[in-house]
Amino acid sequence: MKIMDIFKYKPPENYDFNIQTIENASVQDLNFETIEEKVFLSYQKNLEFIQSKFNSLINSDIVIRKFKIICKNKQYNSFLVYIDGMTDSVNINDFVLKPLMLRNKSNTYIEENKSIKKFNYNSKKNVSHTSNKNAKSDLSNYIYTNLIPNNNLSKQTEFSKIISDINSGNCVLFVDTLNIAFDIDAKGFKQRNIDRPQIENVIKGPQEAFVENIRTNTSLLRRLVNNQNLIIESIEIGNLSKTKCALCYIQNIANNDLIAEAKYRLNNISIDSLISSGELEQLIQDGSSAAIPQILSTERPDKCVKGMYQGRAVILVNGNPYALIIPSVLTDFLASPEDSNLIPVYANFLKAIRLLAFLVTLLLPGMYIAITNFHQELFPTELLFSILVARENVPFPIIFELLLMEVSFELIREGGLRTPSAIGSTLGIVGALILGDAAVSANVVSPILIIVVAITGLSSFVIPNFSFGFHLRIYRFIFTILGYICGFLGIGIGIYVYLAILCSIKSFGVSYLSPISPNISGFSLKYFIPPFWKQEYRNDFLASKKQVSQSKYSMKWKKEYTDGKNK
Amino acid sequence: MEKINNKEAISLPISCSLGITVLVSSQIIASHCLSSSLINTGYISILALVLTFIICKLYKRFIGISFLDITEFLGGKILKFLVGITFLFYFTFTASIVLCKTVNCLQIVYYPMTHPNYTVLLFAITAGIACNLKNNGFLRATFILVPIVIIAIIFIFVGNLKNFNYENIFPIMGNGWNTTFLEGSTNLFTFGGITYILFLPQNLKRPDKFMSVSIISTIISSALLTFITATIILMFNRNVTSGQLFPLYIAVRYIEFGTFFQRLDSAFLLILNIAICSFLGIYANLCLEIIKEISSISDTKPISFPFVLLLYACTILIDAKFELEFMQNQFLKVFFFVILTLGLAILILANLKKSLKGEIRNE
Repeated sequence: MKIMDIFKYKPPENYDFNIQTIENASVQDLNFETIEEKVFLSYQKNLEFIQSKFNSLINSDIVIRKFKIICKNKQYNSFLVYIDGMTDSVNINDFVLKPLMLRNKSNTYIEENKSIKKFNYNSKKNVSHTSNKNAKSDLSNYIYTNLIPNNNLSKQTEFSKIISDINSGNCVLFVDTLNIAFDIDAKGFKQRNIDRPQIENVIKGPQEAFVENIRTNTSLLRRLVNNQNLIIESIEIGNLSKTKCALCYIQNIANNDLIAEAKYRLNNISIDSLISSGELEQLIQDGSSAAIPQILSTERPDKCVKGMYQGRAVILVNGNPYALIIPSVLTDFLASPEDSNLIPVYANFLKAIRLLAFLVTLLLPGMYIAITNFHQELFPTELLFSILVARENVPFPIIFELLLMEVSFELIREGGLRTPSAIGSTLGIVGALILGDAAVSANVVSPILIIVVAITGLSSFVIPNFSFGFHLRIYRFIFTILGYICGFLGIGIGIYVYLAILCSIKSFGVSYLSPISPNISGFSLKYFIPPFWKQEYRNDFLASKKQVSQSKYSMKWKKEYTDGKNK
Repeated sequence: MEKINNKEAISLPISCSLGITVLVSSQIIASHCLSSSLINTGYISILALVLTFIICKLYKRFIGISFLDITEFLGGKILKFLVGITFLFYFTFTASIVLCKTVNCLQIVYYPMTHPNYTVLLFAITAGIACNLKNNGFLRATFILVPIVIIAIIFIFVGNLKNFNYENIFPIMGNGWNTTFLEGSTNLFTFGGITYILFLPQNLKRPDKFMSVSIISTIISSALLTFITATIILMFNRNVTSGQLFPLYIAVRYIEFGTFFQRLDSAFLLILNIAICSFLGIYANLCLEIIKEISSISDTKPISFPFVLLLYACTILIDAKFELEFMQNQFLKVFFFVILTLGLAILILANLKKSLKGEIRNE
């Protein structure tokens, strides 16, 4: 070491950066900055305010374009604010800057020109447009009516609204001496095109799915509903994110109380930010302690429209391709969009398969363990022998075997989801075949258990709703443990408690097991769907304004033919 | 408690009667009346229907009013408290007997190595969970589960048709008129649902339908009792009926459907467990409702688990089989009649009081 090195700067050898945690979070953390200022008359003040709010010195994508507009042959200082990447440059150049900056007939027009006159209907005389009284108002009106050729233009005075609109892709024009700003719709960000549904695929039926943009989604709904009674109410959620949400319903069908409750819940959410419909689902559902999904989430517009025509409401969240359907009941989670597209016999066959899959997913491992441990007499003797022979070389208790395979199956499933699609399918095959086969060869598990786990896994894939499938996966473990502890006694107790929990849940005021319990109109098996011509009434549990959905003789052509024949 | 619709209400007294019938009373009837059991069943069914009709008639002047409020109207808060405590004790006692019997059966059949107290605890916790659920979850679950239990009982009857020995119903009068009709009338305790009916009106969405709800539930309970008694009587002789702890379970063992389903008894056990859970849930909730009415407690949820612990304690107190036999054969019958008489007396007197008050007002 040289002597001079002692005096040289030496960087710290161990770089250690820590964020100091705040130990006591206070309620004051919830109070966010609220912008209450209104647009100033002074150009400079407005400019400084916008610069400070958007941190334009450090924010690279905030564009503040200063220029002079020509209006009535006079020049005014003005500036345009927008976010680069969220706006359409061509639109701004051609339809905002060009008409304002370049000299043309519109901006050089002087009001003494006699050609523009206002017709006074009371005096039935043509009178000249009065301009001297309110020059400022005249200027703003002039810019609004003559100089900005945009279909979606509004005047704003509140900075909070201006900033929110800039953040959502608009550009805003400030003009000196005017205490209003012009909010110009110039959105031009890149977005995904309407595509096929990724999860809720159908063979017969529409192949459109929601996208991230809320306006595209509302247009999909509007197009399918095709009725002026469709209401799309906009609600902003999130103190910081101000995420746009839309509550959609058909005014003359949906129950008023349901809509009022939905609005009440949506308007009373105090959070920083809302990114997805999954977050909103957690915020508006009745209770979540039982880990049972209570709100149906779908990517299909046709499913939403069908729900709305039944009397339900749909909630869309900007930035998320999933809609929430409220209220939702258990049978909705076992229904596929395919059902209504098929003839009832096929649809009901599929529904029966799904019901069976629901029971198998939930109970099969628990039942297997209960029978093999406690109730062997339920098996035929030959089957019992073959199970015993298969388990002869397995050194572990059956619960260990089962949990090992179940956990392995969950790992394979989760691994398949997280890996790229090309590798995902391979991973499934590798996991299922090689791991299963190797486990049997190594005498870690018995072959019959592989069959049980495989059937359970297959059944879980039959459940159409992802959240509900998840719920069944978790409850399956509970039933497995109950079956292991006390056989059918545990399973019986589990079924009772599970059913009682399901009965105790309400989704937006509707019992979760409706229409089975509470049974209002009859003892029919309402899980299955009748033929379309027989679906005369809407679901009574939704208490929609119009209970009748079609006339008694929906196929009038048939009735008229029969009547004619009888005559 | 949230109001319930008529269909749900029908299932509740049925569930109450089923718990007692399946486990306790059917065997008592069979062993006591022998070959005249079916006649006795018919006789007590008619008695039950008449009693139900009388109760409904007496309630006509008190539509939608709770039984304990009627008691208060009759004799003030002290009488309300005393009657409430008596009913509370009866329901707790009945639930304990049924639970004890269930656990004893389960121990003999499936869990010989497990101490029955653990099994009792499991049932008690289930009842506690049921009482803690919102929106009458356990009541609605009962509405779904009762049809399954009814189907199972009919299935046992139909499945054993080929095993029936029809000579077992002879001599038709069994041990004589006295045993069948006079002493046999004490078997009315099998209709535990009648005592539940007393507490039903205040929970109905449509109290005007109280009579139809009560009558229908009593008819269905009678039919089920007939199926169960017929299965036991027609299948087993006198010795088996009195000696077995649970003859209906033995009857299931004889059912055969092909070579695959050789023994369905454990499947029956599964359904029985569900039925008992439902029975306990209803009784525990009813007891909590009574506690709520006679005290100043506004929410019963905090006391639901302490109450089921009390139920647990009552059940484990009966630790010998002969104690259980005595309790179910003698004490339960007597207690039922005391409760029924008390209930009827209160309703009659309350009606009289109301008539007198009406007359005084008219004068």
